[in-house]
Amino acid sequence: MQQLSQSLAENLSALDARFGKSADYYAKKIVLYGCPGCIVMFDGMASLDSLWELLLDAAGRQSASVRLTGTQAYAHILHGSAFPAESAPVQDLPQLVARLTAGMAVLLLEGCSSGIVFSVQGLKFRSVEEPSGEGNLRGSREGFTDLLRVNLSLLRRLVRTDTLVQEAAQAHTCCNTEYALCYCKDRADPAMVRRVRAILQSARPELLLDSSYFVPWLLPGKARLFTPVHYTERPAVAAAKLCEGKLVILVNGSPSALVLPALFSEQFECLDDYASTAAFSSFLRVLKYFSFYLTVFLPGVFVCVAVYLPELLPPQLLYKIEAAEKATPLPLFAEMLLVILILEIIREAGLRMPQSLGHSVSLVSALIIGDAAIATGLMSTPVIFVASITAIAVFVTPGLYEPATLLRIGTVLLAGLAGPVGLAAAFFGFLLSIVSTEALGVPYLAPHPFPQQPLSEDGVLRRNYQQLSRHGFNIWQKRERGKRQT
Amino acid sequence: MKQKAGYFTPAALTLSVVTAALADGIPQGVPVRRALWLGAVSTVCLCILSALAAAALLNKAPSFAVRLALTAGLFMELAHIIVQAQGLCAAEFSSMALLGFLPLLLWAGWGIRPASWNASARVLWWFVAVGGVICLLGLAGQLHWYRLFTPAQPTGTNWSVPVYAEYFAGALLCSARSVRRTVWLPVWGFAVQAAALLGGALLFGSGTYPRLELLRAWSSGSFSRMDALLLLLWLLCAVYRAAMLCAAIRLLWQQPEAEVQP
Amino acid sequence: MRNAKSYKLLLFLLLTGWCLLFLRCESTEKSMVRAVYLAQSEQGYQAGLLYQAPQAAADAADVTAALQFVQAEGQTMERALDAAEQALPQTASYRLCDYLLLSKAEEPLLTEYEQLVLRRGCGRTAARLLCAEGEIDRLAAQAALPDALMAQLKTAAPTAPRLYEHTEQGLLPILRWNAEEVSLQEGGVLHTVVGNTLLSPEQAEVYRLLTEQDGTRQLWLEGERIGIRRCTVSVTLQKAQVLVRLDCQRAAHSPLPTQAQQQQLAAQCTALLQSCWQQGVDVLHLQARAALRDGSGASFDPTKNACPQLRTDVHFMLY
Repeated sequence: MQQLSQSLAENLSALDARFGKSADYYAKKIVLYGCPGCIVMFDGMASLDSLWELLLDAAGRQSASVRLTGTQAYAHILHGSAFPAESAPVQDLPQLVARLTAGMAVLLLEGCSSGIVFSVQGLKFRSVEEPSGEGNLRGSREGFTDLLRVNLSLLRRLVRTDTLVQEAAQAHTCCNTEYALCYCKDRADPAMVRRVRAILQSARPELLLDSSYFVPWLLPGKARLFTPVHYTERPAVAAAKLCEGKLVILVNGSPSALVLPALFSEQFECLDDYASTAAFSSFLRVLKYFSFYLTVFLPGVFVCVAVYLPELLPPQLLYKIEAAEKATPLPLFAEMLLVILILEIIREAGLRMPQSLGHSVSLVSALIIGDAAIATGLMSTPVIFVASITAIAVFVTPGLYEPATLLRIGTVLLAGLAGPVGLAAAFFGFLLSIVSTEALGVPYLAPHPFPQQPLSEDGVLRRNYQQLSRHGFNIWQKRERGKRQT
Repeated sequence: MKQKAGYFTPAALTLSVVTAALADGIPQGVPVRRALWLGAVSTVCLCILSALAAAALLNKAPSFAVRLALTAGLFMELAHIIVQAQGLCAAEFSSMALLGFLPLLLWAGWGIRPASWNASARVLWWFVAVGGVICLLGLAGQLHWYRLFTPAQPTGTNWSVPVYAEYFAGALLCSARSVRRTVWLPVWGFAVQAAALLGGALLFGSGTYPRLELLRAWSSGSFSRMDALLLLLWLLCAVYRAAMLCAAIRLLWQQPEAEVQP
Repeated sequence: MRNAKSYKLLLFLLLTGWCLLFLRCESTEKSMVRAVYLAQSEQGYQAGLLYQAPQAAADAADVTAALQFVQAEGQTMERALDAAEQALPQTASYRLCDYLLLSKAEEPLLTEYEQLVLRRGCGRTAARLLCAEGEIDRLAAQAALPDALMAQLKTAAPTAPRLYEHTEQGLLPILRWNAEEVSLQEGGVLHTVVGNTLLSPEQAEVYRLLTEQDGTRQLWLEGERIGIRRCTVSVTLQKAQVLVRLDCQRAAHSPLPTQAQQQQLAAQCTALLQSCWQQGVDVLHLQARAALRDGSGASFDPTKNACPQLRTDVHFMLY
């Protein structure tokens, strides 16, 4: 354990070596009662208000008896006083604008071409609340806010070691939006960190309103169904991913953190997975996998089985389906497609509409789908039932909503028009899109246990957390294993 | 170039062989014991030939003639499996959609790298295993040992062993570490065909029925038949095999050619 | 660059057009045939189809199964079946056709139907065989009879032999109907290639016991009804005799049989085995057992050899 030295310079040098790269590290040398000192802190975590009050009082008593030129005052305040000014003054306007837009105060003096910057941010921002999209029973309820510095402080509060690095930079956009690349330097692959840093620096998005805007640069190339990145609004989840060696990208103005590389199996895990017993969380994971495959394939399989493989359905159900198709004007797959599209419209409307109208629209849509459509003979009960189940099941894994919806529609179309061959084609499309997806050399399906290791320690089923903790998990192990397989 | 090409795993080749063997079966009309003995002997011979081919081609750049011969074999397999799959779709599902998707299938097979096919094979093997278990569960109650000893036995003597190009292309399609496992591919092919032969004999006795009748006899509990689902599983594997053979042909020609000795 | 793009677009359109050429949409609107009825008369063949025909209804709560029956005649079996299919409201689908009803289970009829199934797919070789007694016109005329017939078919099916077993011996259940109801008769028809024999209810139950069929067997022994399930038959071939051992488990709520009842059951088994042997039926497959043990089953051919001496022992498990 390294003891503190009596030399201020040595102590400062040691701290600088550890935290020098991090943007939220603050160190200000001051003189108090004639003794040189230095204030060190993390921005956003310590309050500068009380510091300002203390030093302002001292400065006011001193300035009454002293008459200095602009340059002298600049020098006195910047180098001879204990004001909490930024150590790097601004020399030009772009710098001045950048500091002002960051919420800092800049002191400009007559006769002085440099400005002194004071970090007295008092920005209004959304408070730290529980995110609406990621529900959990146990664990932290905090969520990221829209302010980057606050988000960085939330991460720093959780990862209280010297290995967390949070590099802030400004993106080359018309808004000069700030972003941060976070990683644990003892776990993340240095080569991948350099690569991602270079990509982010060279990216030229028109706007950067969310971390997902970086994805086309991070994962260039062909169109893909599955994107091997994960989004989270919970600092606890982001911290856990950091400890697995992953990279987290935060963008100022958005609470959504981008985590890469991500694995397919992680979409079926959640924050309180490890807070409950191994048996129950394994049961939930199995349920989630089942729900995902249900939501993707059930409508298509239903259409295909009803027409081409009727012997798989109980006869009591089969004649109801047959009667329903007789009564409706559309063929079975077209009806299924129509119901799926209507449910998507309702979902999208529910997401965008003013909350005060939410209940009315829900009631109307329930009446339209549930009653009027059947009564007029436009839709039938079995189809609505199947489509509704899949529409609900998809929200068990919200991270896979987009690919699941597209796959579902594609599967219905293929199964309806091409029968079992179409179903086989849809299955292959799904399989090939998922096995050929990778990010930073880590296959999306690794360490997916199903084809390789059905009884993986932390796959579909998971072991006791004590056993899991014996072997640390690092995402870059999967990259090496994946490389060995080819 | 060998490093960049990527190779198939023995599991992928085995799945391809098993798919073909499921469709080809063993010629009927031959007594069961004779068929099994002849099949076992043929399998041993094929394993030896496969091992010799692997030893000859291992870690060596194949000549143009070898490459051409293997390509011809793989192409014939490709045509054969497509014809079989299309026949199945037309007969069982009244569908010509496979012809419609054929260009897409061939293009996907040509364009997608072997690693993706290897990963797909791992998933499909689970489907094959589940399908096998379902098949057994539905047929177990109808298989009776005494049908092997019925007085009337078939007296056919015609015998032909299906030979697949994968038996001899293992050294070129798989990495050097896993070539040894490809020598046992004929065993897998024979195992599948022997199982089908035995199943047919235990179910139908001396009667000669088309191979598909073995699946059509499936019944268990409230499900009266599941042959269409089992055939759909085979269709999945057949589509996989067709695409994989395209990728295999491409892999053959991506390998560096042997230098021609003056 | 522009040419490459236009070629790509053209290729994409061609590919899409090619795909669409072969795609089509099927529907579930077919007449699902559940059972086939066949009878042969002097004039030709009589064929009947039991099929499902639900009424159109978007709300599943309003739908009924609505099984119906059509019949037709023809010079040949194929013509008769074809004429019956013409009478169906929609295209026939035989994917759920699991039963074959026969007025007389004759071998030529079965062979001909089997060939038709293999050629045309109008059924399946694993269809259950049952004997039918009743006027076929009633099935077409009475609305409730087809549903009742279907229910009885499902009840009788587990013990019925399959079509592909028609060259072996098999006990066919008998369904009988009149104007009001359909009933499953006790007893059965023992079918062989040579001919058929009507078995009494006791004989039929003993036969099912000896052939280890699933289900609970009800037998009257010493004036008491005994339920037997899970019977295991063990056969030992000795030089002078054949030892048959039945290890049975009694059904729930059935009393444990006494020694006398067990002996009566053993006697019934022996009597049935001997009577079947005399008709050329090897119920216990002694020929196959001998072939398995000795390589040849010639000494146990029921058509050539006398019935071996049989000794039957019946044992009941306590629980």
